[in-house]
Amino acid sequence: MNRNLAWTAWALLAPALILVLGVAVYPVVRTLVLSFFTQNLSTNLEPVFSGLYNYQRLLADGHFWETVIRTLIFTGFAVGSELVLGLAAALAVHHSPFGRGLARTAALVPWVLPTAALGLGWIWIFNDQFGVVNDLLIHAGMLSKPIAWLGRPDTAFTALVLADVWKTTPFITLLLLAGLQTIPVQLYEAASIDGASRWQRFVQITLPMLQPTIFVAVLFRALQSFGIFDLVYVMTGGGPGGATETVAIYTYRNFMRYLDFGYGAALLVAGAGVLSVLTGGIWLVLGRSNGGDR
Amino acid sequence: MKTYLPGFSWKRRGVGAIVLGVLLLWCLGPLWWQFVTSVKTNAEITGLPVTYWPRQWTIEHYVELFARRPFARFLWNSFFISACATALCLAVSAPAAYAFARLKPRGGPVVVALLVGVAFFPTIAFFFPLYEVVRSVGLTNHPLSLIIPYAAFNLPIGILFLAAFFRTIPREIDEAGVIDGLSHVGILWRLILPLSGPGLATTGILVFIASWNEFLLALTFLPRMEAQTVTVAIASLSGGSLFELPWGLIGAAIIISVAPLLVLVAFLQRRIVDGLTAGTTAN
Amino acid sequence: MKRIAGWIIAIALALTGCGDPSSSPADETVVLSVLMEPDGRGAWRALFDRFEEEHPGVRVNLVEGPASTDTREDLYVNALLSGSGDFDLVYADVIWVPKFAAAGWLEDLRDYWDEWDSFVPASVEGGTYKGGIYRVPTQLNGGLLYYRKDLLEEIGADPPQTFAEMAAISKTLQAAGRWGYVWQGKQYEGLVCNYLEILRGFGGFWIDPETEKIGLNSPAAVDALAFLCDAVGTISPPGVTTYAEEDSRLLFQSGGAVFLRNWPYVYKLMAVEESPMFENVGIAPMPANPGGESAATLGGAGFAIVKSSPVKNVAWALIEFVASPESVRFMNEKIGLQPARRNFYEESTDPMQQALYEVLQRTTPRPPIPQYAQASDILQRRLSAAITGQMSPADALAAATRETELLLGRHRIPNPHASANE
Repeated sequence: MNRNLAWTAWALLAPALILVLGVAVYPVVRTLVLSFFTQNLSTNLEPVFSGLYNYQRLLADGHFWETVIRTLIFTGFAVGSELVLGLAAALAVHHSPFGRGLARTAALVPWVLPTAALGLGWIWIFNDQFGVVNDLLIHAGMLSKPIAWLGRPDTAFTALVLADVWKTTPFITLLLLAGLQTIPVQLYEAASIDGASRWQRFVQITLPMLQPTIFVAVLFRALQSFGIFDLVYVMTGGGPGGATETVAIYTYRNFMRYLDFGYGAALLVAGAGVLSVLTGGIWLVLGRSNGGDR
Repeated sequence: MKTYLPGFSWKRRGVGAIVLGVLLLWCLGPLWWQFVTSVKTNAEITGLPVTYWPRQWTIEHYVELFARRPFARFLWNSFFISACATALCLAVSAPAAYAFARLKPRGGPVVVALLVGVAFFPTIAFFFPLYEVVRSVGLTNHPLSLIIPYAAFNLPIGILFLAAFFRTIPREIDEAGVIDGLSHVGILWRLILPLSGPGLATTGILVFIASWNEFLLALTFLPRMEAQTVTVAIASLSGGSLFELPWGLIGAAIIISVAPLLVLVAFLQRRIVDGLTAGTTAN
Repeated sequence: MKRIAGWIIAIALALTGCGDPSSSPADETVVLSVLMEPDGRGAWRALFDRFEEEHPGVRVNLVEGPASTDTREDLYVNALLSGSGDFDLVYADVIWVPKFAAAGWLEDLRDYWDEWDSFVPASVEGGTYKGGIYRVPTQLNGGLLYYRKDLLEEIGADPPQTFAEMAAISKTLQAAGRWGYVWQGKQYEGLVCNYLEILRGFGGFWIDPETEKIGLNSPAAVDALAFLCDAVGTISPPGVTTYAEEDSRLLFQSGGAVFLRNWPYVYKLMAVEESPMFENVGIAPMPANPGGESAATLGGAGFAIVKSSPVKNVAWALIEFVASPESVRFMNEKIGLQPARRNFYEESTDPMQQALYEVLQRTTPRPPIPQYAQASDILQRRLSAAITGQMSPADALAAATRETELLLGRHRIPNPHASANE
């Protein structure tokens, strides 16, 4: 392309670039720099250069690594459930003879609503005495006594996963639905002529054709899920007993409650490291196109 | 509409209805429950057995909501910030999207990678240095402290969706503009943008919703009550009494705060879904 | 049309851009803003109204905050850190002072008056940090043991001196619908207060403020925690792990427990609410085993001045008013707030107040370190894990010790700027 055109292109891109550099790139660089300083209440909130001190502290911080593992487990359960449920829902809607428009409208609702506001709503739904969940489970005979969902560590964790899955499964459904609609019917027709069973058609045609969509969806959701903040902050605050304290909550607390800025920055860097490993893992499993060994 | 088992059957219709029913229940159930709670009396809310339809209707919670807290102010704050962020985001995204769609600059992929990176990382990764900046320039409690970050964080949506939309506009339009002696900026401003109503509307709505729902930055940058957005205000509703949260009040607050979003979605669901799915599959 | 729209937008921008809509430049009124606990009975508002009557031209903006101290602390931190000037005074819990002072947010009040001696020493101590006094105490709190006089008389028992005695009496008197010992076991600051008293009673300590030595992995500490863990479900209701002050108070007041550990306000509230239980309630210091000492965790709030406030002198006038003998008596009448002024107790003829004073003179402070919030979070988390059966007491305290050591910089590399801890 000629000079003039290149100039114009970059001029058009410039505002966006400036905004991204300022709001996204600068914080990343600044966080990295801050992690090499100690700036907390014992330094009267003045920054003092301390080299790798924060990282030494981080490596020994058992609580941080517990948080990381807990968040990874949360991510695994949440994204896994969303994928399975989302796929099932997408298939069901795809093959359904009617109601697709209505389904799509309804599917937008959970995604559109603010997580923080609904978080309070979930507390009420999981309330031990008057909550819908306990009421329905007891009426269905699956429960004999009400459970104090948010009062026990294991059930609070489950409630959190459920709330997250509720919100994002419809979104995944929409994505997969769009992906399903791009699969040519002829592939299925040819396969059923060859005598392939339903299951075989699913595994050998549907899944591989959906792989790119699944990869993007899972990657996006996994990264967002690892950094989950709104829902946890409002629903449980990290309790009970720290059972739902995620990396983002712990990090935020280090900044805004403990006023330990340098250490918080180091935590963010470590978190980013874990995210990179997670991304690599997902790419390895879902990102590479299969050679097509059928 | 390519289903692969052709033909009509009652069984399929039945299953279809069940599937739709489950989906509707799943998606709308919790919100519906908030609505029901918000119109029940306190006695019924904290009474057993649990009722799924109010025995007695009341609007006392809605009245109390606006009486006890400056809720109208919260709604205005949210609206103002989201609207400005959307305007800024679109203003910055449109030229960039045009550059991608039509001009294909070298090094474009790098910028795309940068944008995608921004979209994928959770807000916690960025918030503190931004907070430092906001503090040092004295913009705490000021809407601008959120408008600029929101515009920036939504650039991925803005640029990628608008670019996908621009690509659907026939090149003949551009060529006509060139013949008339317009520069690229002129083509964008006079020819492309007027045709982009739907694309701008869709993208705008997505950015508006994302801004309205944001929590972490709003919580940190706007601590003063009068400045708060509705999303943060709801999360900090306290009962005044020592240990019971006012569920009727909270239900009313949730319904009020999401009503604008629901209205947007209802009117424009088709556009939004098309935009969402087009944006991702176009990648 | 476009013109009008443009004007509307411009005005809206200007309005929102102006910042605080509640300030009017033409007004001469001085406004003092402070974030308080929930004012259900309107007592604080009434007190501030009296101040406004005596000081025309001053308005006190009482911002009602949530019940949880931790949440109010976070609200203050957010406001003070952002430098937005939202508050002129801090209604400060005793544990906030080292943190807020170290951050440079509070005005040193040492030279503002010389009435410091009129207050119970521990309450003033609680507001000091590195030689400065940052808070005027208006409330003195210490953890107490409430007990059912009538039930103990029935079996001819005296208030328990040791923990074993308390457990034995509990087991004897427990019946259907009545537990032995109810306390605050929810994961919050209250849990730490409860544990601290048991810890001291067993002869242990948490953090020595001079040496920064951590006493959490001593046998005494483990035994103390084991006592609480064993209590859950045997002499304490299983739900005690979710109780805060009000839950436990209401259970005791409705006859659901023999012993209650709580703050002094319960006693006054029972009188105010004319609870039938009032006649049967006695107060005693917390038990202690041989080798330990009976401890009452020092608590209570007071008022501090924000260093950057433009109206510090007016703020001080409010503090003098609120901490005056008349005002503290008023608050005691209304909501059972226990004053920090000595003469209130020394001049009282009420045997209950005298009993309270006995206890309140021997309070144990929580570690006055700036990083207290984090040290408390660490301990709360591990204590909660132990009493809900997720970790053994020994493991929980070992983890807490490790994390607290890390917090206090046990692994630190030499710091060229000598800081608070060195």
